[in-house]
Amino acid sequence: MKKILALATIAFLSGTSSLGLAQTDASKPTQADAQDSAKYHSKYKARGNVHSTVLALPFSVIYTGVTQAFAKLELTINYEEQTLGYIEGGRSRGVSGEIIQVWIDPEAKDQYRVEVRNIRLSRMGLLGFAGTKDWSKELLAAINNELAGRPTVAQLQSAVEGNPADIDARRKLIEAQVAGGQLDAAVDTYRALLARFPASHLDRVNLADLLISRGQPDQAIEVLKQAQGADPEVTLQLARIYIIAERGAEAMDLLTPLAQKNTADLKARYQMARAAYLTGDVPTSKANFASVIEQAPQHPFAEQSKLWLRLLETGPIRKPLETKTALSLCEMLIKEKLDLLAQRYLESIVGSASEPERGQATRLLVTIYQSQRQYAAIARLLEPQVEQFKKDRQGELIYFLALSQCGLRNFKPALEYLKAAKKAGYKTPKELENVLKGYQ
Amino acid sequence: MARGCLIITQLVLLASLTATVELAAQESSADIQIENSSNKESLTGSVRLVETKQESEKVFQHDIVSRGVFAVILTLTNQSKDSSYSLQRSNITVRTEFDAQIASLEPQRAYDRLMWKIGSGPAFAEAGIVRAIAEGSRKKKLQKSVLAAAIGANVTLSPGDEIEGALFFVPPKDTKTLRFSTLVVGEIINQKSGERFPLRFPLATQQ
Repeated sequence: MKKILALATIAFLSGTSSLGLAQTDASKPTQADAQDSAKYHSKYKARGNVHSTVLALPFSVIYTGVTQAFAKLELTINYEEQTLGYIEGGRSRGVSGEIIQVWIDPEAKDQYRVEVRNIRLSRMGLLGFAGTKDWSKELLAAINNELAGRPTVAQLQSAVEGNPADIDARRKLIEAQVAGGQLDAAVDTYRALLARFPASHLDRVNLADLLISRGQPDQAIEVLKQAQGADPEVTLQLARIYIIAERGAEAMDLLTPLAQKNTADLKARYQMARAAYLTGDVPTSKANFASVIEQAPQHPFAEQSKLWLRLLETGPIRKPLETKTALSLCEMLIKEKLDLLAQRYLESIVGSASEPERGQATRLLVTIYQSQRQYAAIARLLEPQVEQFKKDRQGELIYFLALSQCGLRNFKPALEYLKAAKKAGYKTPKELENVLKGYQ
Repeated sequence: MARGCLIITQLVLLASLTATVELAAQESSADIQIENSSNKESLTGSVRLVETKQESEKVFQHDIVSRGVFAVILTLTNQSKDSSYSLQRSNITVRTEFDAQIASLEPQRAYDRLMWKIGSGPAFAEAGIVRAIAEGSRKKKLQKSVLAAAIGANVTLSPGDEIEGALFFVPPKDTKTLRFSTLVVGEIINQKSGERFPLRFPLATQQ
């Protein structure tokens, strides 16, 4: 998902995307022009190398970037085959220091506008020095030309219907659907693709990944079970998803023959040890973790195996999980990218645990929700405790609450929580505060 | 173990869609064999991980590692007599030992990453001439060594062809090495038969 998200945003100006983009007349004065704060009126503007444009994006990806404190927002400005600058991780980056600021229009309902407010083209310093040529109009024209003529999801859909044997057309449609947040539609398109191209390993694995990211491990299992051929890597993936789905016995059924067939297969052995722990089979788990350490002492699996063995000293896993055990277990599960399983365990303990374990569990759970964009879940979890967080100066948790409100498009409380987080000692990103102020 | 030495992994691949894949990583080299009873064509490949300053300077004449970029040099040889194979760079990822997927960085983006730290901010921008000289020199060097070394977005291997190209990756914050990871070419297409199959290259030994 992350990959697709980044691709969509990067691609939208770099010409590799197939997303449909509308646009406004960039030559007209923009909201940004009217609202420019003092810092935007730099000497660079006087030199003529600051300009604005408004681009309308019919997908939510940019908006999501804001909710995540710009962590996912990427934007590239290309001109004459050169990358002039881009934003990455919300910070202004660029070839030798371009500054680009982005404005997200909160009023747009189905369309989220990105406004390139301010671009300082430092290449001007390189090519004849600043201000000698007004590149901004040319650049705007280039951007707008680039955006024109992109196929919409509907056009991509028609392309698929017109040529159902074209697997690439289907993949482009899926890419656009995922980027547009139309995940149900993307799953349907994947299923239709696999019905026609059942041997497409790439799409099968990608669909399983998409289903996992949506918290649907059982469906992912069904998809992978239909994979053709006997690929041990697919078997390992399937076993991993069985573990996520708390179907440890089925994971063991897959992993045991794999590990027995190839005793050097460290991954199969490690996964088997982990599955055995989660099914309560302590002897098998211990034996396999020990074997991993002996077989590959320098491997990260060995390091993790030592932690698992330490956990095993407390005895077999018992449900409901005891708080301390659950926290140790979840930290390992998160490190091993088994977030969905960790989420389930954390949800089971977060209400009953007492401080400080509750704070730790809450933090872990919020991190998982955040990565899955479950903003309503974050709000449900944190809002009832916000006064306590203020008293305890737990600014980070209040900050997460602010982000979740951004995700829910509740910008007024988002700004209030952001300020509260700052007051509680958390260093909040200035960019986000500036954007949210504009949203009020 | 010292962080990221140059590691060469040799792989022999007999290509097929309905392949049975046997993975066997040993010491500093590993063999992957994709068996296919009906297909006698073969694709041979090797990968080389670049994740130290020394190796980076050797391969790219520039330290890309200290800028947070790792590289994998992928070599593929089509030993078939009558089949062509194709692949897309966008389908190549690194899968870590804990199954995190890292997409490869567009070469232009890798280049940007290497360029952007030359200077930043308005104060630096004032030093236009100095910057122009520094940037211009580095730009040429990086264009030659990094951009030119990158594997193409679409690669087709005709019978007898060999290609070698770099793929760039930015490892996640908590990942110090990719030695225990696997390079996954998500899909290779046999142009003659239309078969589609993945290839996987362990970046090092399991040990």
